[in-house]
Amino acid sequence: MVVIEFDRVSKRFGEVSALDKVSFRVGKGEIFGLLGPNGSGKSTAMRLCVGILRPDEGSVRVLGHDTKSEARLVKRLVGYSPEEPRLYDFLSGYEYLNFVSGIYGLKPEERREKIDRFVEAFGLEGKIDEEIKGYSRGMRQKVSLIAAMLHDPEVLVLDEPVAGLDPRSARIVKELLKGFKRMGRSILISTHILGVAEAICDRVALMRRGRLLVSGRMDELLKMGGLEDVFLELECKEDLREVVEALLK
Amino acid sequence: MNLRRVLSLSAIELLYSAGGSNWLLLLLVWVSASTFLLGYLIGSYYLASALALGRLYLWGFLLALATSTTYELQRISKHRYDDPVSWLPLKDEELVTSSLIHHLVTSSPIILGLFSGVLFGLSRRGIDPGLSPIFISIMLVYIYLAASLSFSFRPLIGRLAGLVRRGRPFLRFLLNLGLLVSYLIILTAGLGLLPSLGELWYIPISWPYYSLDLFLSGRHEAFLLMLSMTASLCVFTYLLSIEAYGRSKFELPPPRMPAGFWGKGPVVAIVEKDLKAFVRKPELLGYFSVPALLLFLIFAQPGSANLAFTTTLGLGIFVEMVGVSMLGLEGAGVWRLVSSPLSARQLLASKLTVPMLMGSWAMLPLVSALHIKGVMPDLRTLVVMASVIPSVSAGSVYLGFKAASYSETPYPKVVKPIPSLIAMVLGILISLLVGSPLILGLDPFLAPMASALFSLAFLFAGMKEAERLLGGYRSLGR
Repeated sequence: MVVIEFDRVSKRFGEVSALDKVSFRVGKGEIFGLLGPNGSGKSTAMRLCVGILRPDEGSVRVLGHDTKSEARLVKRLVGYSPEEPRLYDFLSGYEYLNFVSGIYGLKPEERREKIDRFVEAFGLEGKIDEEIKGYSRGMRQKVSLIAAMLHDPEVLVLDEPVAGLDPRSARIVKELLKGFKRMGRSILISTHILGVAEAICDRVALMRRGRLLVSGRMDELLKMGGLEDVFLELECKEDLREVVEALLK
Repeated sequence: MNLRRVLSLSAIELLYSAGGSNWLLLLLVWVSASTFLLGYLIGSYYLASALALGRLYLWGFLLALATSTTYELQRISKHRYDDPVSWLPLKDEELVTSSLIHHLVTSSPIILGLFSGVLFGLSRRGIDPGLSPIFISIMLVYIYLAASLSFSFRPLIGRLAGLVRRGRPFLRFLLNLGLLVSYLIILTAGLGLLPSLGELWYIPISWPYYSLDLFLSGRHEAFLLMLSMTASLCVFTYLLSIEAYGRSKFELPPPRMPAGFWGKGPVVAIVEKDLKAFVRKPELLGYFSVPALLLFLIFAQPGSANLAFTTTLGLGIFVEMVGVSMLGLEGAGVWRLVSSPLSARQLLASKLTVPMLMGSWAMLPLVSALHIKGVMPDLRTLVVMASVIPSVSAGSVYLGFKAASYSETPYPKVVKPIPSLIAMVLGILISLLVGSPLILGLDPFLAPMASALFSLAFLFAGMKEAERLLGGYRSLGR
């Protein structure tokens, strides 16, 4: 069953082409990774998937719903955490999570129990009642991830989910994502940490300058000599050793 | 009928309406205090030397009807198939009685606060308010009648609303509103609120008033007759509401309102968050200086010429400042709203609520200050002042969509300078237009009409802006 479907999607910002006829599919219970350097169009793809942006050409469908015409329904089905989550600094972590629960219509009694469970798992006890403006990047990332998962979404769209996290929390996120997968949920993540992709993704797609270079099953790409080699082979046409030697001179 | 069960049910319903025990007492105190102040102003300035009792009771009865209609609307959002009352072995009369007790308890602070205020205001002017406790007890009868009559119409409204597939909550709202208007026409025999109940003896709803009148004039036989007729009316409406409940309980349940329209949904969540922003964000806290400045001006100005008008204008500016910031205060966190499953209506409703609330709150100390200063803020002035709030709120929130600055570098701006200037000019213009009856000597009821027109126009424009924002926040770029 196809859960996320990008069909020849293009998106431009003025003169800049952020995505150029990108197509891929994510199945049910699958973790799909978008890999690529900065500016390759990963975050734009994520935002298109959530319905925050509208494609100029092509279509994005989540569980069969078009993100353009049924944006509200799609937003209800998806849990999203952006790359640099800007939260409301004047709220405490708990108030923020309570606010997000309210947005998704969670019952008050359900909220407390859920928030407490996540806060404990991410080691945020003792900090959750402090104002967000005092939080580190990692703590903000944790709050944003919890907010994305609070309403039990069918699909998770996580932009660089482990960036800025301490090793323990990064491990928790990875295990949590595997758990979500076992529950039949689909996950679309973007990352430039290849180890993360190798550890949790079933399939990956490599992107560069808004184009999808290659996509395939993780085990197939690993057979080709490891993700890093494939990535570098496609990404860097020049000989990296020459670049490094030039820098060391 | 099991009395303990009835009392438990009404207590549960009471806590349900208040949103929990923590809020119940605070809510009751707040409502009583506000309505007392309003009643005091009416008693002190509005009522003529001869107390038009009938008219007063009519107002009270209409107020009670309005509150019971509101509770009826709340039922639409709160009661569902899986409510225990739908499947527990409870008798119809137990449920109806508990609901009536709940209505009496929740309506009482409004009505009693208002009437105590009126009587206090009258006595302050040296007008004998008569037997105040009896007045108030008669008012309780009116609250009861309002509640039981509202219940009686429930199946009719439920069935009419069932005729349409979409928009049932809205239709229910309109029908309840229609019911209120019908009561008004029937009760006043189409003559509006001008004649007192003394001319409407043939209408059963005037009987409680007549009982009081006959008692006070010492006609005891006639009083007993009228009292028994009043009691019969109460029993009749009670039986009618039980019958109506019996007919309505096996219908399809009323559709649930979208979360957030009423109750703890997205609208309430956003409003709570925004209110916190106003007291915690330093760049927004400064807005409270406007009402403070107005208070200072009221006391500092020698004489009181045009003071009510100036205050109205200042109130408009305060509401405009709050309204235009409503979207910009999201700052870089606006992605949260855009990525959430909000409808344009929910977004607009939440952003409109805060300036309207803050305008209403600011109005209370301003009106009190005017009163202390010796300006007579009669009902007409209050109508004009209150009319400024919705129109300026709608206009400024609409412009706030265009003026919002989400950037937090080099410092958070909330609104862009030029659109904010335009919004300020517009806010002043609307306040001038809506508030003009105060200075031009026009009919003050032109103000709500003008306000409604402005509000509607800006609401339509605001909906378009909200839809555009939720469809993709292009202004934020990549």
